[in-house]
Amino acid sequence: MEEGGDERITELLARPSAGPDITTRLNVYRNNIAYAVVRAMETLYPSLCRLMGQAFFERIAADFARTHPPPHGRLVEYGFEFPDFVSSYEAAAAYAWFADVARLEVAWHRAYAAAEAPSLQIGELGAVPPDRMSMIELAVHPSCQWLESRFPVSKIWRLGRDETEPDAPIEVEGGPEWLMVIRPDAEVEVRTLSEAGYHFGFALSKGLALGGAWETACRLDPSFDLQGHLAGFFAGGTFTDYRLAADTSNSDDGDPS
Amino acid sequence: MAQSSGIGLKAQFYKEVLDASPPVDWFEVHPENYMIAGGPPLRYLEAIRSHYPLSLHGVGMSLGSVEPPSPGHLDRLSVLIDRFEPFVVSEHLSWSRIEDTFFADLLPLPLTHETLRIVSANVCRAQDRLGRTLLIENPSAYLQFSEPEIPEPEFLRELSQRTGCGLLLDVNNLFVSSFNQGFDPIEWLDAFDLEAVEEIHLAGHAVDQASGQTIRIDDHGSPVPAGVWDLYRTVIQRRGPTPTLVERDANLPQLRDLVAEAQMAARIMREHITHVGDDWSPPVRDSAKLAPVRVDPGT
Repeated sequence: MEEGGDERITELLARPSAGPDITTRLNVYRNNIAYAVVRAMETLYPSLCRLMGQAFFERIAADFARTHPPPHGRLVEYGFEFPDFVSSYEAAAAYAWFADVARLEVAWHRAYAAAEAPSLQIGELGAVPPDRMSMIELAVHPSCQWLESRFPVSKIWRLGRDETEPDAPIEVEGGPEWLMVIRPDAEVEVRTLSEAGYHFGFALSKGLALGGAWETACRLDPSFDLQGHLAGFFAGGTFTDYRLAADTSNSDDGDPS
Repeated sequence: MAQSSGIGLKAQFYKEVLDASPPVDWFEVHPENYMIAGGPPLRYLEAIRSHYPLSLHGVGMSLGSVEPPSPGHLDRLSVLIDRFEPFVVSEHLSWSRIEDTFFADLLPLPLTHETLRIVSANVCRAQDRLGRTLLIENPSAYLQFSEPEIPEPEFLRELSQRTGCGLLLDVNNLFVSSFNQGFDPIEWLDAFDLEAVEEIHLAGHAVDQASGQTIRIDDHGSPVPAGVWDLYRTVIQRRGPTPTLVERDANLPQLRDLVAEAQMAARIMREHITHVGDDWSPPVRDSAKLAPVRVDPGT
């Protein structure tokens, strides 16, 4: 609602016999609407808000809300397009990492509010014959999110989120990060992976069988430690189910579902 | 349940409520905050629900919009109702949505006969989908429309009669609206169907100055003020004990401060019963009104 629409709105309204004028009264609603949306954005982007500073964050969030008003009344599911808006926001152009911090906060929120699912234990793969291990396809946890950044985004994000001084200054151009964000149980975890480990997990999440995902990882790191990475992902509750790829003989063997 | 009092459950209080089991009778939440697939908010709500009754107080249905309530929204609400078995489900006499744009506020409606038909049809659609009656709340208002209007208490009475919905009387909203619009809240109550009231809300509001003029703003950001408590006493004297909620959404105090306000409401209700005597019993509504009734949308 822009100020320019006042005449058309005021035609519909009774002149107050006392108290504030119509514009003041209309502004109560305008302020309520803007306030609610900015508060929702602050809840979704707490780290970015502190890193930007409250005043600048409120300005950019209000600008976002004008062009991207909520499409529904669930403000807990609003504002996910904000990272792209931030990346094209001229006044923030000097801080290219803002958008990736916002992307990490979206990933965190999606993991936080994702469906619950019990994690698969690595021992449950014991039923698969060794010669068919490469055919295993793993279903990743519904909370699992993947994020690549050319910045040390998780360090920057923690700085804003925890408001604690880092042990050493964060070098903003201090190299890329490959992150998996997941909530296997009550707590959201942000895990930093190697490039090969990230692409291994990401390939599995896209439905590649274990053999194919391993090849993907080995192209990035010829000494990729398959067992170690797989054990790490399992220990972190990354998977919920498995099956054997359909193009093998007796493909249903060992499928628990 | 009649004499009970509850407080709005904020995320900041989840842990303390579970650890300390504060002496309140029930909690109320906005269902929109729980329309998610999973995660800690739903886990906490489930744990707290296993110890306390729950009320779902919607802010997203936009019953005053010309278009019907969103089927997806009603589906999500229905899932929450099945899961949490609230003792009441409430919404507002307001609008928030035009097609795919949602304004995150409870916007005012011109209270015309056409609006009555639209809101009645929307309340019936929602009640039919949810398989239960809703309570509809009087909003806080800052404006009045110039079209000839049905006075708000008559509008709500008629809405209740047409749809079978109950009413939620927000005493703070009545206080705020009566000040901002310059009407007498007691006359408003005289015209209001108190028998249809199944829940009462109490809250604080801001008193702002704009170019030398005072406006009261319903921000749920301070304790229930004396004037609202006085109006609440009048309501309880007339209606008898009614489940009462203390709302607080901004400047959150300690949980115990909100519990104390809820206990104050319970005390006012007890004093009323002692005053009236042991033979007092709450007014009974016409049972035919409890079932959802279809009305012709008339549009």
